[in-house]
Amino acid sequence: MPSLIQFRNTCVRYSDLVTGLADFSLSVERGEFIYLLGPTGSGKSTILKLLYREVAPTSGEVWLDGENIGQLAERDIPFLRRKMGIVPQDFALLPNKTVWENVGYAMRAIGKGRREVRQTIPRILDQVRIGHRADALPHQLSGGEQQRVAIARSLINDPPLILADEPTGNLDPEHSLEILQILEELNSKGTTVLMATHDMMVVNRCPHRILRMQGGRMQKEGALVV
Amino acid sequence: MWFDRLGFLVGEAFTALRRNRWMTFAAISTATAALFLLGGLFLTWLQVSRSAQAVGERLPVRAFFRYGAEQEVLTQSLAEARQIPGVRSVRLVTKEEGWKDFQKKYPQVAKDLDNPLPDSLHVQLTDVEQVGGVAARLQKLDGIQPDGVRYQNDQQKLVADGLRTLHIVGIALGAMMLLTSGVLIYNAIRLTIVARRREIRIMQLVGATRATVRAPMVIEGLFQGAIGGALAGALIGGSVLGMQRLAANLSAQSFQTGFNFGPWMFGLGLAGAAYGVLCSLFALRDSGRQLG
Ligand SMILES: Nc1ncnc2c1ncn2[C@@H]1O[C@H](COP(=O)(O)OP(=O)(O)OP(=O)(O)O)[C@@H](O)[C@H]1O
Ligand SMILES: [Mg+2]
Repeated sequence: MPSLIQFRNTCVRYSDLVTGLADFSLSVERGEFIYLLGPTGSGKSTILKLLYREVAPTSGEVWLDGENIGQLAERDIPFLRRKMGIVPQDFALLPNKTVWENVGYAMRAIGKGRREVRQTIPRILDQVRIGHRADALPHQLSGGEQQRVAIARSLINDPPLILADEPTGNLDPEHSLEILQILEELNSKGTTVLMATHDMMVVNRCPHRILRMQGGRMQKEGALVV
Repeated sequence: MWFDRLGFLVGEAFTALRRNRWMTFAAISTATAALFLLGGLFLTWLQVSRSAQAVGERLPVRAFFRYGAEQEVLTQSLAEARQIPGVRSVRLVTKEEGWKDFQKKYPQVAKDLDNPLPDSLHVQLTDVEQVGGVAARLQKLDGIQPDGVRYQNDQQKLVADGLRTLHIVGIALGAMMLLTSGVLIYNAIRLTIVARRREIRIMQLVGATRATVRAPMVIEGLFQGAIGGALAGALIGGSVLGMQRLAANLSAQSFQTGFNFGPWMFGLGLAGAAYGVLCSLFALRDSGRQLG
């Protein structure tokens, strides 16, 4: 069985001057939990965006589950995204919809029926421990709670892969660890997790495989940080 | 299942319509005005072409022979007149018949006179529009006296010209309004795309298809156009009934009044819907950047 994810000498050039990613190669096995660690502008988001094809490689290849997704046709991209859960760098919640409606809206958008939405949402909200705030609007929630709603929304397809872009970006340590606990729980059930971060506290407290990025290149790889 | 699905998309469209309610109002009302004007013109055109035929039947053209034209000339010209395009029927009225008619109509004038009438042809047209051409052909027939063809030329022409001008002005005005309503629908959709950018982004992140992302905006345009068209159909119907009632009151006669609302509202609604969809497709094309 091939690796879940493979980057082969992948380059992304946003323009002649701006390189997002340079000659990047990586294999990710099923069930791994990986930190993409690096300062701002180092190419972390670019890696995730390649995987959900918001960005296409300028050269090189990107493989997901045995499929070369760098060459994917525009109309197939939605179906690629249904095979993963995307937690964007901002939360991207709808401000005038409740927690329940935010998740329900996403399910309706990919064609789930009303019945299915009603039956599925409680389980998903409980998974990220936000069930008790189902009727709250986003502005009534803490940052950590909003992030959990964003994670809940990424779970609607029961994805084998979660791409989380700085999910602890604006959170205090306590809430950051809460988010990590949720991601680790999902990982322990077999979900592969790719998480971009520059939060050393989180990386040290919850150790996993680390890819250090710098200026669009992988600097080094290691399981432990000193 | 598909019903549930459509419900979601239509719900999205109606949220947008409510959010843009003034824009929606402007778009629908101009679409109504444009389609009212164009639909109304079409209706009057139908009516006029029908009544033009009716007038053609009632308005005879007469061609008078020179005095003492021979019998062979009369029958020969009668046969040729029947071949002229635009002629429905021709009757030869001899001077005796003509005089009898005249005596009946104007006994006071006729009583001290000898018959001054020549033989003549009474021609019925298929269509008044053709009266000029038919008259010219009749004039050339054998035995017709110089300037021997008579019809109510000027009045007819005046009415026809007036109507034609009115039609051209109306169509130009209607086309302008249609364009305006198209621009309004287009703008409403582009506003919606900006207002819904969060929803659109989320839809794209969770893997909604291109069609799902775009459908609410297409439905929004379709709805604006369809409502505009149906309202125009209803307004045309209302105007027709109003005028019929007025005419009935004025002539103190009871005559048949009625108007088929269904086909008109449906037809114009359909035309409006198609137009609305077209406008929203343009808006979607031009918002490609926001739609990814
Ligand atoms: N759409 C874009 N157009 C042009 N340049 C871009 C675009 N997206 C990213 N870049 C550039 O590519 C480089 C890598 O960006 P990327 O977003 O991957 O960094 P990052 O590691 O996620 O940073 P951050 O921690 O700030 O999120 C940066 O120099 C950035 O300015
Ligand atoms: Mg980033």
